[in-house]
Amino acid sequence: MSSLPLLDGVLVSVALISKRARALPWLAAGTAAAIFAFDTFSPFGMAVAVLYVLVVLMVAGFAGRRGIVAATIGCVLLATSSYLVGHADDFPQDATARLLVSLAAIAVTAALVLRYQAAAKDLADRARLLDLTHDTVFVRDRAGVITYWNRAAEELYGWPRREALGRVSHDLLATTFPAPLAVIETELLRTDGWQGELTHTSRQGRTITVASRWALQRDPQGRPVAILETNTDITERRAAERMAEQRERELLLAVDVIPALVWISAADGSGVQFVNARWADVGLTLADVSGPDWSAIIHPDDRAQVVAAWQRSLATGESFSTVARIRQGDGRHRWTLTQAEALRDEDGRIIRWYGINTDIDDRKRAEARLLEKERELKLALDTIPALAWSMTPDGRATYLNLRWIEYAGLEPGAAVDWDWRSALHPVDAAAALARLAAMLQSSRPGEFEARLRRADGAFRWFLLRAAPHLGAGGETLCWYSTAMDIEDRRLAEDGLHRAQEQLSEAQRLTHIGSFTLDLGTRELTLSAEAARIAGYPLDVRPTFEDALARWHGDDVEAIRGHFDALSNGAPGFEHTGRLNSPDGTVRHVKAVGRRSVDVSGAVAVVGALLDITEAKRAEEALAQAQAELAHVTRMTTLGELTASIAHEVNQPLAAIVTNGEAGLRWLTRSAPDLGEVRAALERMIAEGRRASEVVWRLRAMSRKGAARHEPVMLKDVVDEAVVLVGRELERQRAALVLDLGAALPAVSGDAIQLQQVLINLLVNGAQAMAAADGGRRELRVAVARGEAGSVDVTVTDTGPGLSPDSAARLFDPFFSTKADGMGMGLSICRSIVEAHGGRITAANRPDGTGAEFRFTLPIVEETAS
Amino acid sequence: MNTQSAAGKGEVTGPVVLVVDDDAAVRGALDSLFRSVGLGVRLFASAAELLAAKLPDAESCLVLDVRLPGVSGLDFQTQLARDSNNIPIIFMTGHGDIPMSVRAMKAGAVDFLAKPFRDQDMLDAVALAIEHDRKRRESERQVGDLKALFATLSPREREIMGHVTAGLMNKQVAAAVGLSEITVKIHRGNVMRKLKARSLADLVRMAEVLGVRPRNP
Repeated sequence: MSSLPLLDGVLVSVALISKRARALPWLAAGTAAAIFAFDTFSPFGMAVAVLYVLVVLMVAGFAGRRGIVAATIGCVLLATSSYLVGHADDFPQDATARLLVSLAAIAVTAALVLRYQAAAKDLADRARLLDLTHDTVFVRDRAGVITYWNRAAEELYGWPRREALGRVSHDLLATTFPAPLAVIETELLRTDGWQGELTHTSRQGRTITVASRWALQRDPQGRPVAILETNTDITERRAAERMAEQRERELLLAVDVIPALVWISAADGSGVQFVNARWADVGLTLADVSGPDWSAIIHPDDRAQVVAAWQRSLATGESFSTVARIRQGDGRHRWTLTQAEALRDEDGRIIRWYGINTDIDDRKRAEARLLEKERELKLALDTIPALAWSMTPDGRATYLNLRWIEYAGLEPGAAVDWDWRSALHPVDAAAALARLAAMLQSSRPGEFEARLRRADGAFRWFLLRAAPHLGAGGETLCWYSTAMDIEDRRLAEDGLHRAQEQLSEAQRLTHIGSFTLDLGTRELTLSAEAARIAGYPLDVRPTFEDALARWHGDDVEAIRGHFDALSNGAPGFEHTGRLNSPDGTVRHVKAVGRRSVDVSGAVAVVGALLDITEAKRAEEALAQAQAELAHVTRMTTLGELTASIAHEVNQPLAAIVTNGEAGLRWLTRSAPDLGEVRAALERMIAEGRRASEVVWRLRAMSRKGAARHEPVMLKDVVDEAVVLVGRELERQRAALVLDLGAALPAVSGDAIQLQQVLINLLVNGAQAMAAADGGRRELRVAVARGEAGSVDVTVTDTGPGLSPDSAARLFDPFFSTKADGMGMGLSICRSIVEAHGGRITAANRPDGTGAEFRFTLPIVEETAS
Repeated sequence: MNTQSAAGKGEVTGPVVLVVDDDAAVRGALDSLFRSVGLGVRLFASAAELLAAKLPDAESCLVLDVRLPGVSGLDFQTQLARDSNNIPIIFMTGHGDIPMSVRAMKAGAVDFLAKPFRDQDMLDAVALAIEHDRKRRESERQVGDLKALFATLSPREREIMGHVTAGLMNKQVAAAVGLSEITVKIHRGNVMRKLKARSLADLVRMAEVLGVRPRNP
């Protein structure tokens, strides 16, 4: 083995020489010839043949195995030949020995050369292998000097091997290290290896990122001798990775700006792993949806449906799409469209789900609004007081509104096939259809009147209108039509004429005339009846001044005032007064008028003149009847009080009789006691007067006649009434409390009638309390000054009070809460009080302890009394 | 047994008529009438006034107006009966009706007079009422005397009286009370003597008045 380096050196030298000099075979041949000649012909008895070794070595420099074997055989033959030539007959021992030594040397050399060549071939093969790899491989010694440089290194760095060899690798490649070189070296020495990422710069100045692996080579003594460095170019991978990172960043950025809520869920749907930044806009975070409770953000009404759909998608891998209300950060729910797709790997397994939530709340609302609009429109169509429908250009109905359907009495479903034209009245149909056809032909809006049959078979007049809906090209798409019910108008038109005729007749019958007074020209236009009431001949058109003179003297001033007020813009007037007819009779009239401006701008008073002469008479008769009715009810009341009043009269009579009898006994005693007799007589006189007073009051109450108008002190009225009903109240066990206050001014009226009111109220109150059979029975009569010149009389009881039902009808005639009541008492009370210019009211006491009746009468003015 | 004929004013021991009428005139007339025949009179305007007054311990009767302020005459009658006051009552009314008078008479009224009444009718009614009252008072007095005698009996004597008046023979009484027949006879004799009973029948009547019943063991 020790000879191998030498051999190696020779071979290399030879190889080097051979590469420069293609004449090596010739040199070898020459050398062989020279040796042969010298061996054969030289006299030296030495082993010249050994020199054939040189030839073998030369041949080895350029030839292969066969060449070497051939050369060796040739050399052996030449050496043997020389021996045979020189020692043809004898075979001296020393020469033979030399020949054998030489032959052995040649053989050994040949063997060695062959072996070396095989080894060298092996090495070359290996070196070629290194050149085949794409990884750069180079070897540097401890000083960093490059001793081996493979082809991949040449290609990568741009340095050819011959230029690279002998250079310091870190300088050549401007290496940048991930850590200080010293640290790397230390690790290399410690572990015999290192790997990491380096940056090199190629000859062309390109920066190259490599994954570098270093292996430390040691000699047999373990001393480090060289470093094998293999580098893999990862520049593009790094760039690709950086690109990918960049792309991912950009993607995420893009995802964040997508105007929708993006989410990514695990393949099993166990929870959302990622949400984009838009979720923050709605106040939601990943935490809201990442857990198993993700469905909590879904509106409770939608939750089950969403979860079911999601489970279905998870199970089948189908696309997920659902619409649901999703709770926002502020707690409100918004309609959201959620869609998700599964991402699958090559084998079709789901890796994860990508989802997107789109806010469709506004759209939903818009849809709802649209629906509402549509509904409203339909409602409007159904509500308008007309039949409405749409028609095809040939007149067939495509839509009928509800009124139409109802009018025609159709089943809602049958409306589509129904020809509305069949509802036309047979008499009108021909003309109407012709008119319709002309309209449809013309494509212009039009109208006509016709009768349409109603569900019950009756026909009503309608005004039919239709307008075409034109397309962009002017073609008729459809017709919109309405039919207005003009039956009433038709009737009205017919009726108007009749009404005008009837009006004058009616005026005559009702004694109501009409007039028009032009405020500008002061001219009066009178209807026939008005002229009759005012006593003018029909052909006279009096002026305002003429008419004014007809009014009674008491009315002239007021009429003039009304005229001025109307001239100054007052809207109307009303006056009741008397007119002097030319025939000397006086008519009671009522005139009412309204200011009116006609189209020409002329201002006039349009009014009516009512002859109320008859009404006046009736009014007087009514007053008379009322007085009589008051009397009747008074008598009824007295009838109710008979028992009490009888007692009232009986009491003094009993006293008188007993006193008389007692007086007689005192007188007829054996010793008459005249003092007792006198006392008895005095008591008789007093009781006689008392009885007479009661009878006088009864007579007053039962007096019949028209109401009087004289000053009345209400205090006296109360006193008188109490005398008449005191007994009755006692019988009903009602305690009477009088609160007559200070001296009050008089009222004007009829004392007996007012007394009747009071008696009525007192008896009612007492009866109400007795009927209720409650606890305390107290009747209170208070007379006090009321508001604004009036006197109030209040009668309160502690009875059960008024029921809401009866309170409203209390003063109605023939309304009674008593089983045997006539229902006239309070009605008469109201008539009486109102006839006195006052009013009467009934209410429950605020504390709920009974009823309170109050009547108010105006005080007689000082000047009048 | 006072003399009714003893006329004159200030006779506090004679019969007294109690008049209740709210009408002062009627009260005055009645006062004069009753005094003219020598009856004592007390006048009241209402039932409440009468109840508040101290009444004389003498034969008396009530002349009552049916209509009275506050408590009516008929109600007052009911009220008196409830209080075991059995004073005779004569009613007056200004306008009497039949149901009212029936009710009053059923409740024990002596008479029912409509105003104006005849003086003799009133005086007859009063005389009758006062006679009723006299008898009533007499009977009440006798019961009182008997009660006083009964009070002198020992408990054992009362017990034996109860058995005897229930119709038991001495032997039976002895067995019932656990005494010898001799002792029962002695007690029985004491009872007869103390109550001044003349016979067994007399004793039975007394037991009825007193309400004595044999005590059940």
